[in-house]
Amino acid sequence: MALQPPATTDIAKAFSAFYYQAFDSNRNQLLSLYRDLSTLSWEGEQFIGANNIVAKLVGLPFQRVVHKVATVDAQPANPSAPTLIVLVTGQLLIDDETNPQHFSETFQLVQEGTNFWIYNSIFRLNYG
Amino acid sequence: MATSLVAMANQKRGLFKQKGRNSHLPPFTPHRPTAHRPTAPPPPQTMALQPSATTDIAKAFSAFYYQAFDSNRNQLLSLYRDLSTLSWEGEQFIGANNIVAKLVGLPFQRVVHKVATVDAQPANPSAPTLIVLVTGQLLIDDETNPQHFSETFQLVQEGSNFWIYNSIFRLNYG
Repeated sequence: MALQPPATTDIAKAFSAFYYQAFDSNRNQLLSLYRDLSTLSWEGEQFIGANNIVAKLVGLPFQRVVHKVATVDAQPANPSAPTLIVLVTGQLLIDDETNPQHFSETFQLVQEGTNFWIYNSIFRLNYG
Repeated sequence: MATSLVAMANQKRGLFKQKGRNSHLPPFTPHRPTAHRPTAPPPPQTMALQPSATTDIAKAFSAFYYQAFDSNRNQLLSLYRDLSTLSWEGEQFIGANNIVAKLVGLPFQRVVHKVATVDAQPANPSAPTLIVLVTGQLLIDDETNPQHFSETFQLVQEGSNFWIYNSIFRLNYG
């Protein structure tokens, strides 16, 4: 029941496009991507469960953000279950700032019907 | 996936044991602070790793991995299996031999990794695996400008060791 490697790249790119478009327009839209078992590590702080995660994301202290994805890589994460591990790197620009910041984000996505939901997510800005 | 879980409550157990081919290297035992050992065994119905343990595991693994990478990339062989996958700057390699051949063949003499962050979470509610994101910088040969990198792993526990099931490496440009 594992996902096939070429399929994981397509899934990850489609997911990434959807995720950051939702993030950049209205972070409340992200709720459907998380479940009770989802975990988010945001700059080292952990949040468990869809409500806690979306509360954190919606509460982030900026009005506007634009993500520009540079790379999306993916691999099957489980030989007996339809999950994939994804690494996204790129830049983001907040409010009226002119200097973009680099970010890296890792996901484990789980297939449920025709959807994928986020089991693990780890976000880090890359400083320096 | 690993079928047996060794209780992570035993804090004296070293996380990495050297296999025979690397027996010239000292055994790796992370420093663990003395802590009260819990008297109750972990819940039998779950074989997942505990979130607090995954951070310790990931930091110890990261220190070991990049020290081995920076000194002699052949040492990394014992961390991979036939089922391991590496994505290196978008190129995929499957299996320990293919992966280590790629890493050993990278076109530099010297590299130094400087890890900035290590984050980890349990990756499976019924198996002892964890997902890890490492970010940092690396410096190659005589270059003076460090490059930023990000690396994601899924580690699987096997006895008292952890091996790399997934690994994805990217330089962060611009």
